[in-house]
Amino acid sequence: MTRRDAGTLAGLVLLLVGVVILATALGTANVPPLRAMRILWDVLTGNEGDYPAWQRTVLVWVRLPRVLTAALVGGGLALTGAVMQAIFRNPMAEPGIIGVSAGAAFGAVTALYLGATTFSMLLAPTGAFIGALGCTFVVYVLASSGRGRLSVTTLLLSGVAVGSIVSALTSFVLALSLRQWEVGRQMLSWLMGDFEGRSWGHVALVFPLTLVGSVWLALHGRELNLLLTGEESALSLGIDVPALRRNLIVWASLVTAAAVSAVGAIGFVGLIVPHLLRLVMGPDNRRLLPAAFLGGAAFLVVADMVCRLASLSDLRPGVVTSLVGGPFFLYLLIRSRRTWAATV
Amino acid sequence: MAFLELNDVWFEVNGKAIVREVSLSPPPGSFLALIGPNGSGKTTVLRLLAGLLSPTRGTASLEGRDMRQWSRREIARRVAVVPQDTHLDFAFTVRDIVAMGRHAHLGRFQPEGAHDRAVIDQAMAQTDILDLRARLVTELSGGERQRVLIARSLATEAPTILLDEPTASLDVAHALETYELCRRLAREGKTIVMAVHDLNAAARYADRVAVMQGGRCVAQGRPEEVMNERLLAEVFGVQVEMYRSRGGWMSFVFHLGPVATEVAEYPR
Amino acid sequence: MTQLLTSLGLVVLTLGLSALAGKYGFAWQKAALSMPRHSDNTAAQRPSRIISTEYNVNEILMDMVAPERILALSQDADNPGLCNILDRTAQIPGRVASNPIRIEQILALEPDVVFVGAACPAETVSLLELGGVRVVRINRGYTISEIQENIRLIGNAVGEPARAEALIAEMNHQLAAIRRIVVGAPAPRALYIGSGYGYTAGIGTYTDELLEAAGARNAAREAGIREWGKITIETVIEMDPDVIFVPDTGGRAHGAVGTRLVIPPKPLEHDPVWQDVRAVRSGRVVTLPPSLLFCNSHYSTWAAWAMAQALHPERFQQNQQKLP
Repeated sequence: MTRRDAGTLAGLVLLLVGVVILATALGTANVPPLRAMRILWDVLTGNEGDYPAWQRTVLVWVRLPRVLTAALVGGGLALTGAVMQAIFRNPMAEPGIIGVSAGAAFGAVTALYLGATTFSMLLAPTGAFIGALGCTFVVYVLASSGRGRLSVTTLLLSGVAVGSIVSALTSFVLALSLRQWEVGRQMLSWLMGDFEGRSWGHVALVFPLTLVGSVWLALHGRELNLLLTGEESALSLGIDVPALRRNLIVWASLVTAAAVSAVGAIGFVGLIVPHLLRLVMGPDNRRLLPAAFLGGAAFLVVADMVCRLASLSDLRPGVVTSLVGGPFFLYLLIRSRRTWAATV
Repeated sequence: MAFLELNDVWFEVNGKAIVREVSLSPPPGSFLALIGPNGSGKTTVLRLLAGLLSPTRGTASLEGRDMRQWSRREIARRVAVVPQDTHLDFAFTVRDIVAMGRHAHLGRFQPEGAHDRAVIDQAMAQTDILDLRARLVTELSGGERQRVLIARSLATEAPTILLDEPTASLDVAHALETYELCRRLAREGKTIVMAVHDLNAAARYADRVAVMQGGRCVAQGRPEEVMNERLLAEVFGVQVEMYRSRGGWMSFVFHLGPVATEVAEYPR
Repeated sequence: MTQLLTSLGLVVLTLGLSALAGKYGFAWQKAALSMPRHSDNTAAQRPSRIISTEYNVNEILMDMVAPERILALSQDADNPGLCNILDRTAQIPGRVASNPIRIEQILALEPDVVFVGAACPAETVSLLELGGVRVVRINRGYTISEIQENIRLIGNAVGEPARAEALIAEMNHQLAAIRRIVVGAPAPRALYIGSGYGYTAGIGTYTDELLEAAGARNAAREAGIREWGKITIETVIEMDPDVIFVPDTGGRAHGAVGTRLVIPPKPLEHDPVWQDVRAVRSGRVVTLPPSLLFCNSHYSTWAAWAMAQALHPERFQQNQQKLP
């Protein structure tokens, strides 16, 4: 690892920490930022301060877990996006490409339609999770059912086909619920991604899978590099490509499913962040994967902060990620001389 | 016990036989050239030798055991492949690409050691790309990329190297350097199997030649024995004239259509 | 093989860990802050810091308690299309977002009771309760009995059950009065077309009940439409209503029926397809204030007055009933 890359990684860590602190300090409620810092410090050191109880509640129970959820989700999505781009050797690949997002949407929407809200808070995320994994499973089984070896193109097409069917079913359920507009509103809220109300329970839900999955994936950086040179090339260099691909897809799907079921469908993070970092750090996945995690986490925390601070207007994190990520990426691409792909 | 062996191997796709009844066992420490027209199955034979394809009939074996019983890692340590397509989409540096050859020798958490670095450097020196080590592969010419891939195969320290028309995009000088390098490697004990278009090079540099036609291996042996005008004319479907160069090795001239069939010595 | 098993084992382990973490995570945070902030009974029984996040609750609340007890209303309290008492809601300065509900914003006001709607996600309710707030979920109220049930629920929540019963009684009184006026008159066929893409009020909506009370036959009911379903233009022509009620959208289009688009948008009366309908031909397309039609509160009975007057004008010439 060159000194420059080590510096970039360290910078990203600092950025993430800074952004998390900033996002916790600012918010809709009128808590002065310095007071917020003091409250957090008191919580850590176990002191009782002389500020209103609601401020402490807001910071510790509302804001901090929301920021941490955003960080975990953003990191997980960005890292799995990089992994998907390596598996498919395609710059347009993103985490939901083999049906995770479509399946999660269907699962969540169905759970909401069946009245999940009234029963338990866990039902919608669980429905989304089952839907995500079920859809991915179907995609994978369909793609590998032929006699030939599983090729990434088949996987991609299978993902598109199954994803389309599942999306159509999701629209159908959505249309069914339009008669009761309230449920429809909840579904739309989920489909657009929402950080409102994410608490420590959500952090606990997302943390194990994101941690284990991300570590596992990041440790396979070298293998991902070899995958990038082509399937036969990787085989001849000693990689059991089918097994590796299967494992990568399993873990990437798990991490993505965990992220999406906690907060809904947030696009663009898995697509843009790896690209941005690749322009800076190069394609070596051993460095890119950890950097993608850090960058994605910071990105989504900032996006959530923007949503929160835009008071009384209905901004969603997905909108912010697209509006911010897209133009910035274009700018970098035009300016960059280190091209991503030499030939089309 | 031959090192790499194809024994009566068939390879069929959708009922069509790409390779028929091919038996091949490149002797260790030799340079075997695979020649034949397009579609004769040269690339498929190479991929069967590399274990990238499984024979429909017959066996491909490595060190006496069926190829299918080996893990990919074990095969990678013994057989290296230099593909024909040098297309590298990603902006890795030359050294990164060459270093990939060490993968089969490194454990999951094991970083590169001193020995690995030495092997990588030596591989780059042998292929004369040391001065390119920090360049991005996407910025190299076709010939330079080819040398990078050869260096990668050297870095695997595999005793057998399979090359699929490595000189296709090289200029004359670099092509000759590649052949010279392969012959030198063969002398040092490596087994080289190369699919070539250039019959003159095959005649000059190879220790053994295998001629492929329609999926069959129609002749195997030393170039002197195998590469005669009549066989080449039949296999390639052209008129062939053989001459001796000043250095004494065979060289061929090809024509479409009838030509005087007397063999003429190259005028001294 | 062993590699597959270890991978599988790792996956199952992590999944189990996640599920356990999630389950206990939610339970722990619930237990950790389970003490309600205002534990004295008076505040619980008669809250004085009330927030409403839904427009149908706004109006009911304003007529239920003194304005000093209301901290904030939803943003729709300033929307002339949804609120009938703009001059009074303007007296209450506080406003909160309703979609999505912003937890920090609400907690910062330190309320006793917060009314949320059916669309409020469970996570938000849980976090508000963690913040020591009593959360009452009020559904939108699609029928008159549902609206009255909502009034009762709100009354109980704010400690004014008597006032709630009074409002309900007033609603019933109004409807009975209307029924008395129009009794015996031949019931024309009426249809309600909402602003937007052919939605009408069928069986199980308060608009349908108001039309019936105002002495009309609801064409949508006769066509078997349930709730706020869509009606196709063919069905409309077949039903051939005598009167069509539409919300006053300021001269803009009243929405296309089915997939037929009106370009450029123009009101129903000028749409060529609708000319076949009797109501259009005889000029009986009646606009009503949208706030009366969409409010989902007790003010909707006022709409019945307007409907009855349009349906049975002859009954209203002699009895000059006060129209609120």
